[in-house]
Amino acid sequence: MVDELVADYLARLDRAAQVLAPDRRTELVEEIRDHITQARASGTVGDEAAVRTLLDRLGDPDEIVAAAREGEPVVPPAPAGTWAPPQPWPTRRPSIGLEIAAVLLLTVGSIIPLVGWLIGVVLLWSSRRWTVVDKLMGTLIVPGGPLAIALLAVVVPGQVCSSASVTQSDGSIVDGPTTCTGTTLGPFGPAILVFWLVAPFVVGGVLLRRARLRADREPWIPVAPSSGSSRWGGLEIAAVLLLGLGSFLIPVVAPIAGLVCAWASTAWTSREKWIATAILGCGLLLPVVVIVAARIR
Amino acid sequence: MEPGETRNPLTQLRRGVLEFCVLALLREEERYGFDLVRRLGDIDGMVTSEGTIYPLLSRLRRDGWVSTSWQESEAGPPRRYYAITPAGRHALSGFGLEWQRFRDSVDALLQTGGGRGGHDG
Repeated sequence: MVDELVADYLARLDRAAQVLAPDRRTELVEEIRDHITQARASGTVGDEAAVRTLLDRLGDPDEIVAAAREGEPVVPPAPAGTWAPPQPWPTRRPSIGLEIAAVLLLTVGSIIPLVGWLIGVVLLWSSRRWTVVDKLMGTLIVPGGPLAIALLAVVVPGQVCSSASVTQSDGSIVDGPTTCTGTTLGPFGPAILVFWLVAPFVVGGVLLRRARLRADREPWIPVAPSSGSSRWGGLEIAAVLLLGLGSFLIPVVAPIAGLVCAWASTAWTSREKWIATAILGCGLLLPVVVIVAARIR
Repeated sequence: MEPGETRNPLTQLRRGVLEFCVLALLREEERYGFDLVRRLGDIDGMVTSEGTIYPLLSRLRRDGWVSTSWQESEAGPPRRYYAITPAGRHALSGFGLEWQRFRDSVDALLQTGGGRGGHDG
């Protein structure tokens, strides 16, 4: 009785599916047959009532075939106002702006003593595309950054040796004992210096490559169809004006206000906001560093 | 006035959303047809005829949003498993974003009747 019910249902489905392409018809009937088989194999469908419920839940064969016809490649033009198949959403590749900013600050940015490099470290640790090992590597090779080392090499005098001339009793002049002041890195000094200068750039390259690889494994970022002019409200314009023109008119205060506006806006990603903050941080601190350096001299 | 099932606008809406519900069910793990269809069928108000999900599944496969593979099962005959593809994930994340906007807008409209004018900036 139960088998008859199923056979009857499948026969009705097969008849209804005659309107489909032959391979689609076979496929559909096979899938429904599998469904019934799976349901019965799961043990929950034994008696006649359960089988009838199962078939009821599957629905009327005509309805199933109608659903299959909707997806046919060739369909009569749909009347206006009905559901249209979804279009692929516009997307963009995940950008690694934050990571690029971090590596730039860790290497080239170290020209601004300590501050540039420190902001680079903050960005480095705020990225989720690097592992802790990556971040430690970026931080420890080399603390302060390559250009800080270069600056140190210029500012701190190397080993200066001098010898006083001694006039001996017989009138001849000979060199006295040589005295040296300053620091020296020993015979490996040049090698260590080259390492300090080059290694951060190599590490930076490796870090960028890893960030790119990991970013490419992330799903592409959907771009809202209405993005563009509607993204820009008063807040965004205020932020840009304060950050740009404002810093000339009211130094320090205007850029900070602009930054607050930028962080309050939803039009930019947090990555973009971090980059703006990092660049502004360097910009704000550069004059301070220059003034302090001038005072020391 | 009694709207027929085919005329019911919610039927159209369900039909449009159903494929993304399938993708969402596959986001964490692959599932075999019967399991997938039963889960959807058990969601209140989602589908009236479970059989109509199969044509949808083969459409998703043709579109490259899901892939299928046959696997042996411990009990009974082998099962056809469905898994989401990168293109399917991509479509799902796009839909998620759009759905959120759409849902929030409709909710706001239903609750306030559009009384609160303007937009937040």
